[in-house]
Amino acid sequence: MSQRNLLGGTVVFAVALGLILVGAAVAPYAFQLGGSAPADTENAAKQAFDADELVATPGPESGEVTMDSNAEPKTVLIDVAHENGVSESDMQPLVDALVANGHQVKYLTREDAQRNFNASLRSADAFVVVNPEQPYTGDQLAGLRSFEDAGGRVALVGDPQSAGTTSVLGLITVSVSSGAVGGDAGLTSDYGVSFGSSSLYNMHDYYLNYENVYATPEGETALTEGVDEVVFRDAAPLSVSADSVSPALVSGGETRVESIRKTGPYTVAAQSETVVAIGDADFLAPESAYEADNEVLVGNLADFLVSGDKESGAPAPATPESGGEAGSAPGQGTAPTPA
Amino acid sequence: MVSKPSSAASARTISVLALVAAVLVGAFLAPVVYDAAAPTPDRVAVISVDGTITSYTADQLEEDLHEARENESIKAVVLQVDSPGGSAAASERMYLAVNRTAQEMPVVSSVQGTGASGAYYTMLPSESIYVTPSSVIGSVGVRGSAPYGGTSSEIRTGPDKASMTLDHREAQIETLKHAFVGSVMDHRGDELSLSREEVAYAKVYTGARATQNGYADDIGTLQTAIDRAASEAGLENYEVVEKEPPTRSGIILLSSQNGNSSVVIQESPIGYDGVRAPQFLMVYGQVQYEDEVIGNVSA
Repeated sequence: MSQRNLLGGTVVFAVALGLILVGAAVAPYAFQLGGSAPADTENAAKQAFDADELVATPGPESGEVTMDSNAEPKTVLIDVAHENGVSESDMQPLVDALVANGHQVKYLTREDAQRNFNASLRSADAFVVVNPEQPYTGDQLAGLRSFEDAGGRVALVGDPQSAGTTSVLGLITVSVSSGAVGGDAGLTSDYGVSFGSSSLYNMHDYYLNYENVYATPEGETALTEGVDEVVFRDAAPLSVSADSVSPALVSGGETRVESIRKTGPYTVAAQSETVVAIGDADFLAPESAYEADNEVLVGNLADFLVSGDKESGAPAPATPESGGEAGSAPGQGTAPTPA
Repeated sequence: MVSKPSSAASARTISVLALVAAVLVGAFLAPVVYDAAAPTPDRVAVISVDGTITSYTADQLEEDLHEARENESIKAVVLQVDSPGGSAAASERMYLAVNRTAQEMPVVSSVQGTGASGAYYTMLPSESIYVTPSSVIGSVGVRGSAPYGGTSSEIRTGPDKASMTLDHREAQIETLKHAFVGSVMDHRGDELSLSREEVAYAKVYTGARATQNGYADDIGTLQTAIDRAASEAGLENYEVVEKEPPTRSGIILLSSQNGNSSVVIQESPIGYDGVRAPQFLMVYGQVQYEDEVIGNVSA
């Protein structure tokens, strides 16, 4: 092997090795120049959603709670003696309207009720019961009947009650089997109205949530004068069984009862000459009182409360004989039926 | 003249040595060259969607699907789903990632046990959804805690800084529902025998029922889904690559209460430590944050 051959081989080897090393050194930069695939600038997420079609917007809360009545100053007694599931602030729009129109609003405390329930009623022209959780005594029931017979106004307002609790009016203990039956064998049965224990909902036409149902006037009642549509949150269906009581507000046709899923429409408010029954308490609260025409309904309820002309001295003081057992029988209840 | 035979022999020796060296080097390099030259086998990627959906779950799925889109050898994706859903935002991200992937390659889903709420949202863009008769899917709905009031011990720059009205919270949740239900109708409207309102009831269905009402396409196992994905991609010979499910963090106790699935979340994997921020959930089962029960209905 000549030196020339060896030199030639060495040169070739060095050149090849050099090229490889240079190539290896340059390769990363070459790959970097090539880069990864160009970024996909197409906004696929925006194609999947149209924000304009998605957004739900709360309606305006407007209007004022006003009263049309020019009645003389009356006294409205609000029951907070029976562990009522409502605070004073929850009824502020109603109270404010009454006070602004010269009427007096008092709260029946537990002590008042225990000391002399009938005496408290005697000094009042209207009695408001909202979501009581303690049952009334026989004497109290008798006093309430006498109060109403004498022309006193009674407003019964209640949300759906869960099974095993007291009835919507706290008049008796409820034992609910179907979940849609309110136990109202006490005073409310006397009034010809019973409250359902299961909520209403509407999957087709509702305000922001399926449990916020719309209700519209049924017939012509003073309670719904000027009302086109109200929103009830967590409403209870009412069953009306007396000729003297008329449905006042009815939910939409596709409303259902949550427990039995039976399609409505359902009565959610009813009125007789002396009694108003409303299957929702939330509309009285400041948060809901100005949705839809709720403020008109609140004003009409205030007008109703001061519309009576109660005989003085009623109810008479309770006697052992008059104490009776009224309202103490277990409620049988009736299933709410479509209006 | 005497040296000529010796020179020739030397040249032959060098040639032989060079040949041997070439063979040895060739034997070493040949497999590398072969692998480099051989065509890459087509693959079907199986990606798990497992457990409660959190932002971490979404991170992992987005990463896996991005890799699937970038890797030219992956021709189809199968989602192996066993989840009751979870965070609404994370579920939405996962839906979008699957939706984008489905525009580039076949995506098929296989429900192993539960594919509910946010998990169902995730697999909506799939070409086909396979279930077993006892698997559970559906629950097309959103849930969230009611607003809570701000504390009087702090100063806020606006009335809604730490809270909001019930109306606005309901509107937010309703907006999310519109997106979820709308996506269901967009992707499966042709298959569904249910109306939009019926879908919005947020029911869950067994796999058997789901094949009847259009929530799912057919009864099938994971292998059925893989075969379908490969078929959709036009593959005859393919490999299956599996992506491991993300490690769960801070979760989970599974128990049963009143016959309903119960998910007890510890260390708040969906929320933010130390901050009680409102959460929107797309989850099926009872959810409990520490001692606070947010809700107990399917959604």
